[in-house]
Amino acid sequence: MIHLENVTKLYGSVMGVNDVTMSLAANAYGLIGPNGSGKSTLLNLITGQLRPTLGSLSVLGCDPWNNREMFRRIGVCPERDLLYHDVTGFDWVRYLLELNGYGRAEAAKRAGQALDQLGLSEAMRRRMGGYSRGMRQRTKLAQALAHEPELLILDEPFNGLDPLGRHAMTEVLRQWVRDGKGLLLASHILHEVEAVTDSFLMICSGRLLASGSAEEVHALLADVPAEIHIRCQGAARLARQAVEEELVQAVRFTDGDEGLVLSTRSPAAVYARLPQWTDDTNVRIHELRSSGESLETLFGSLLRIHRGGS
Amino acid sequence: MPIHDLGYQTWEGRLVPEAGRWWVITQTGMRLAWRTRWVRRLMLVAWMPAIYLGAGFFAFEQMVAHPEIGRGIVGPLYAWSWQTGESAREMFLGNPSLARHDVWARLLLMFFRYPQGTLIVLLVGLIAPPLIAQDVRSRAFTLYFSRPLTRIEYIFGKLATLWAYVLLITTIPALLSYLLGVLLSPELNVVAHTWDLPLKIVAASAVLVIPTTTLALAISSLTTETRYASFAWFAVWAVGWVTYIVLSLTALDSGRTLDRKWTLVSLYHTLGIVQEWVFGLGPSPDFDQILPWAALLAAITVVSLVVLFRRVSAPMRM
Repeated sequence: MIHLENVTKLYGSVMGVNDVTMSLAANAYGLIGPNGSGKSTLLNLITGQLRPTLGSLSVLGCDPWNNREMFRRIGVCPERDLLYHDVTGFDWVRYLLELNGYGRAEAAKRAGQALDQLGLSEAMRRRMGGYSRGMRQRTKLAQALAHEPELLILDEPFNGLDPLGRHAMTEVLRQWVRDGKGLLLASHILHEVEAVTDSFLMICSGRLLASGSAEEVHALLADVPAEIHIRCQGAARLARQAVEEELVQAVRFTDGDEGLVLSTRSPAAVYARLPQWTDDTNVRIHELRSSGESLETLFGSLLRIHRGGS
Repeated sequence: MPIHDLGYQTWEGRLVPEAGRWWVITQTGMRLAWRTRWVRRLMLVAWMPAIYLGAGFFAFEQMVAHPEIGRGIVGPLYAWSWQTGESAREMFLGNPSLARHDVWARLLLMFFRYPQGTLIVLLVGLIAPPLIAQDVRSRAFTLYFSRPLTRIEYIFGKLATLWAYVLLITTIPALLSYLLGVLLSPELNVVAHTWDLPLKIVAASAVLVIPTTTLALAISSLTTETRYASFAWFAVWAVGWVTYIVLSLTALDSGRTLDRKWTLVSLYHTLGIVQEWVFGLGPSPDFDQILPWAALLAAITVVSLVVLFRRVSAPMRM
């Protein structure tokens, strides 16, 4: 489906994608990476919006650059809002279908079906300027799948969606995958992708760091310490207690004696013991939060491995 | 047991030919522009000068049919209107049918030059600024060019949106007025006298439309803000026009006539010089006489196209 051979994309002296080689058979894939990791650049290369500075790539067996035949077979949902505010959702999707070559009547029929599929039947005759973020996202997705492409390429499609919107979009994408069509879904949130596919590509700093199944990713994540941020009075006493019980791998102080960051591979155990520790040490906790950046920590670890670290 | 193929099924219907893909952009652009109230109003106003053009043809043909009216009223009026020389005046009054080509060409030039020349600045100024600026702002290129659409088709589609509107207020009314003139003429040989005028109308329209619309779109592609594109468009015309008028008045004040080459500072006057030549009303029919003006219009077109292609071809760097 997609084949990249030593693809590098430079923006002047900035490297967008760095020497990526991969070969993806027809299936659904999640492209995971932190913000600024090169996901969008990679997608733009695959969709023929950018030309690689070095290397070569083929999508559905063709060079994507300026390739009408390939454009007919893919559906693209970019990250940014690309909507005209004074046009209705229906008119916009129909217009893009007409650009795909469908006659006016067929384009209208397909636009209606696609918008209906995404729960926009009532809103599709309204101007897009009045749409919520979630409605705009769904309209973007509707234009991408209305012409029934072989390969759907989505860049952060869940951005701005409320839980119901996420669920609806996840269902549409699951059905897409069940129908045996190709999907490349970029996101920086693991569980969003996991809900749709179990094949992952992990990209960071423009490099393809790893690829594999959900189990393999979780196995990697299991080895990555989670961080717990605590703001309290007497952080040193609390840290000492945590270290003594050997539940943390590292301790870091921030804001003098008031901030504490615990790195642990057993966050649940730490949370369970925390009340007892605060009692024993007579420490009053003002704020407690987990970093929620385990994926970025994982990417940090993967990068270190790629650079020859351990 | 039969095994059913439930996999991906390609659509077997017929697609619109690729060569006509630009027309989708043009149609949509025209429809969106038509929603603007001021565009509709301007289109209405823009057809009014055609009534005067038709009336001019009618009046002239009446002069040909009834020489006594011509000598009494219409003839002197024509002679006065164009400040023509004594021989032309005599020709109008003596044998008007011989002057028909010249008179019709002058009427058409006046139509293109004065009312329509001003109206297209306003019309293009209303329609063109958002045409590409809003696509640059919203990065719509990502969607356009992930479809079977080339950059050339995209630009052509956008240009054709402007051409359609400009031709609707210049070429179409001019050709219809010409047709009306032919139908109202009492003489059968009117077609033989004026057969080249429809071609000149088309040529004058091309002179007017091509450089102005490419310039307008190039300006639109240079910004993400529609208002900046509008401002730049009107500034190009206003600055050139005012500069030329100031230079003319300064020259007049010092008792001399401003050299014709100074019209190059104004796009409006440059277009006038070339259109005058197209209608065969310039000082000389030689192309050399208008070479600098034609070269300026060609340069504006080429530079604008280069800017357009660069801006549209590198959307991700914007």
